[in-house]
Amino acid sequence: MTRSLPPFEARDHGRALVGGEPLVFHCNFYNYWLQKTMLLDPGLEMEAVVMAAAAESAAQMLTAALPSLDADTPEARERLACDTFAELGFGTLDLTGLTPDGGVVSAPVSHYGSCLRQAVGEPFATPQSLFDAGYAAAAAAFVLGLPAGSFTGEVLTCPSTGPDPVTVRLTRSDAGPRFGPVVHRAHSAEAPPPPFADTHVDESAILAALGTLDFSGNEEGLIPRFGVMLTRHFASFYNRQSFEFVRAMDAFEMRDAAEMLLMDTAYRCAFHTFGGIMTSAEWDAVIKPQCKTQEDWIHGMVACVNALGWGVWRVVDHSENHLRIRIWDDYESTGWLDMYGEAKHPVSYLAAGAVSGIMNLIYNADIASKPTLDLDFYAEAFEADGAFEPEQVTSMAMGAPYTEIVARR
Amino acid sequence: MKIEDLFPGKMGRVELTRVAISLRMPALMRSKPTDTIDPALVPRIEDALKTVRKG
Repeated sequence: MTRSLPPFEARDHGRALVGGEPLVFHCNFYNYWLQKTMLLDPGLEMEAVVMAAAAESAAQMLTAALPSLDADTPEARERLACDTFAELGFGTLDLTGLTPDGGVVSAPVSHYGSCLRQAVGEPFATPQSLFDAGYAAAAAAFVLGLPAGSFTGEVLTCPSTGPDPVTVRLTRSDAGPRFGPVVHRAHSAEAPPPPFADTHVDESAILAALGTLDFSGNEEGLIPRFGVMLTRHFASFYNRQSFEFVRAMDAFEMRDAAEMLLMDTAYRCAFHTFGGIMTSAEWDAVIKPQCKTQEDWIHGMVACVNALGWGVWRVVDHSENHLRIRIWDDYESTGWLDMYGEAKHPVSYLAAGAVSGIMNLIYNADIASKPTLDLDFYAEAFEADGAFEPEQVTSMAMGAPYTEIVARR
Repeated sequence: MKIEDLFPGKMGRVELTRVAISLRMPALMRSKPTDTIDPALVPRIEDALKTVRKG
């Protein structure tokens, strides 16, 4: 299987880019809970924000990738758009129904259409494949050589709500992009220190081992790994919707509520993805043999995080009762700086929930005993006395050279 | 009926936040576990809780 793909670039501070767009790994549980949070209040009209975030991230990536094509033809553009969709774990995209006026296109396999349902275990009331609709709209404009924002997408059918695969009606639009291009400039000038020294864990060996694993979408365009379905996603997609949600809720004096739910979403992500990693065959083969103490599990997991595109994580200090992490170029802070300028409050919600999630998994959920990571166990771990709570101590988005998070009991 | 009856524990607090956002009721989110819920609001809150617990 040879795909037509834009160049993937590894940058310093743990960043990975495709077509100039920063990529981050996230699982179907995070994607489910984030979207569920976005759509809580229909009056906020976040559905349109999610689709616009998808369309604009995809359009920016595809446009930047154009020089990588050997021949610039509609067929080559279509292949690039569809192959990248599959490579990143979003599923398969079929644009054969596309006409200059729009038409109906489909995603025969869809992460958002099928894998979110897997996370919740029951059908949804509304279609979940908003990302697919946004991506398809961007792809359509790209294939036809039209400006970004020339199409809008509407989900007609979706396996999240019924038996049929994802179909999307594309309609011509003169509205143009909702947010405009994001210039990815924010970057800490400070070099991160080396990994924590007082541990048996060899981070460079773990990163090298993870580098040998294949994280590209399979024939169905999906990435099943560590007991979850991964996506290698656009950081701007997550950032735009999360930050627009926070800003919208701020207007109703409910920013604290929005922030709490974004951290809860991250905590659920940590529970399933980090829990999946720490109970996986890959962990047993590569990382567990290095873990002589319970603390080594922290360092093993942080080493894995450093392969996710979430910036450079460094353990500063820890005990049974706390974990202090500093992050250089956490993708939320760099995203906020690129989109809105310097922030007035910390914005690293994913990182904060993830740091407390690591500690809860190791010290409250006894992840070493390989528990079943289901909802009942989640509730048990979350309700436990001595559960860890995160605090965002410093924020790169607010001008600090790094983001610091402390999780405490 | 008190807040803690409908929203027990830490999980309940998160669900309460989801319900408060879905109903756009900041005061509900800031209520204490022992606060009594206005009886006229109980059916609306229970409906919202059922909805946020679904996919």
